[in-house]
Amino acid sequence: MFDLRLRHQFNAASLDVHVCSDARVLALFGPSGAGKTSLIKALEGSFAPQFAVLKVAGETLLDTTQSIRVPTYRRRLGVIYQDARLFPHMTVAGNLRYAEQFGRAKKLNGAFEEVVDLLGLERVLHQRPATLSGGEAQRVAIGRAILSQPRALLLDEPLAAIDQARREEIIPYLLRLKRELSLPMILISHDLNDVVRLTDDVALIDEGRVVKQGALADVLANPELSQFFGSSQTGAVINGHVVAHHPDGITEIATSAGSAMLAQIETKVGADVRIRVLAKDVMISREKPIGLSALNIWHGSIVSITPAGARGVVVDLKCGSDHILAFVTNRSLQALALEVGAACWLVVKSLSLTDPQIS
Amino acid sequence: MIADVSPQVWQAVWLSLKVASVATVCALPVAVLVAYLLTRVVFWGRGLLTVVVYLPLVLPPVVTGYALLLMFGSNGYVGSLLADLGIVFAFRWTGAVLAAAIMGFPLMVRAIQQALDASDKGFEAAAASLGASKIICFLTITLPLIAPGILAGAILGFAKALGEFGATITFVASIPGQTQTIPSAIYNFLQIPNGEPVVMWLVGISVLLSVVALAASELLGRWMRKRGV
Repeated sequence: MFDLRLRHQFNAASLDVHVCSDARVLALFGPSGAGKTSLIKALEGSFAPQFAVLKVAGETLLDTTQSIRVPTYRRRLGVIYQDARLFPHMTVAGNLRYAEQFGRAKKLNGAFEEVVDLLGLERVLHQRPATLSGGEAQRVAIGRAILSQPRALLLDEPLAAIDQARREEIIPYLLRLKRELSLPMILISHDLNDVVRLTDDVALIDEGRVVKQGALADVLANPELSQFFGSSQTGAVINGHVVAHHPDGITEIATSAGSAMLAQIETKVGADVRIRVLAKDVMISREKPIGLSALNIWHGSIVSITPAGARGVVVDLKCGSDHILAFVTNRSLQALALEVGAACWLVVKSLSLTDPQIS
Repeated sequence: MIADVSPQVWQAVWLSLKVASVATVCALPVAVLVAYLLTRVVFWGRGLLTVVVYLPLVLPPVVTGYALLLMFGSNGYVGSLLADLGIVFAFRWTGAVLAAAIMGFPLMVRAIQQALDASDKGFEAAAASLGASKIICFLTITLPLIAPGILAGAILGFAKALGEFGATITFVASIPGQTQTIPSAIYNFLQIPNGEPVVMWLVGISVLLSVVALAASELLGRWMRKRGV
């Protein structure tokens, strides 16, 4: 889907990245100033790097070695900006029709109604952009981008300017988009939560270089990247499906590690979900624990132990076919005599497992 | 006295309105184009164009008028060329239009440039990402967004054209019915004994015209804001 190579020497910094992914949704994750936005701008056509070969869905948009440079308006990339950028002199409907009109010669019948329905825009169609909330504006921007019939969507920190409550309002729409449209997407973000919820592949970018790229679960389960994510964000992602909603308010999810219990979620029984298990929330025990209030007790064996900072290590455990990371202090490492190959029990409170996502 | 000269007064008023209107209508599209070039396009000679555009604003109007006379007069470089095509500026009302347009031009460009500088380029980038070419983008996004600036430029240019004196009188003199606009008529009547009552009339009409123009622009501006521009 995406094959992006780019080199550029700025005054103080340099950018040298090669991002390659066949996933439907690719996330570029990294701190601000890492070079993600330069990459998006080069794709969009508003930044001309010294060297670049950018291919999206098989189409070469920019190749400085062969002087190929598709003009911005023919690139057909639906860009969704942080600040929505709805045309202030048109209504919501006007904005959507604009994309339909200039996006492509061929108009698809019924596409307008479908997009309005998909993003729940019926109620705001005749309003001016200035009267919309941040979340509504962003939904209109997404609808507008889709109606231009792009070959891919570029989401440049689409949620950054929106407060947490409004985010929860948009994310279901983005997930729906991902499910219902076969449209490749690049998501730029510096919020790991958004990345985990939306993406399949991820490329970590820092100081103008790709630190790591690959499938989301593989990248997040890599213990060596704990320094990149920091002690509060490091954690593996495991996949499973909803087995039951128990009457006591617990949802049971089957994973390869065993049953995962968490506070009730609204996802249908049978649906696939993605659970993020933060390394700081995982406890390790050499004996099978009994009499604990924690509902998730899984069995696994240690694959590797990686130093993480001065006080502790990241332990990579294999449970079933999934990897789970756990932060352990040096003191516990000694006390439990943890070593590669050792069998352990992992303990996770159900309340630590929140917010699983339909994958 | 007033009764004797009233045809000449009304001629001057009518001519002023005609000259100012035609000058504004002709110069405005060019001003929009030049302002767009100066703010959005990087090209060789941008500094030179800026100087040329703003020169009439800083030059003494008489100098501008004399330059026009040299270039567009019947013996002038451009003037003799255009005369072959049947276009004559010298001592005609069209010459007064040219002088008024050139004097008002920098004011128009400046107002539109300010609007372009203030308008968010992000909207243009968004339109391009949706598939709008540069021209479509200019017509559908840029132009409506800077409409208040264009209106301001038009009002300024119109007011300047109504009041233009130095360049006009130097270039096309003050021929009643041909090139005698309100300012040159005022100047003429000040030179004649007992001309003051006529002058007072002309001054009153000038004030009235200015007030009407200001009110019109205010109403138009309000209407634009209401449309959400």
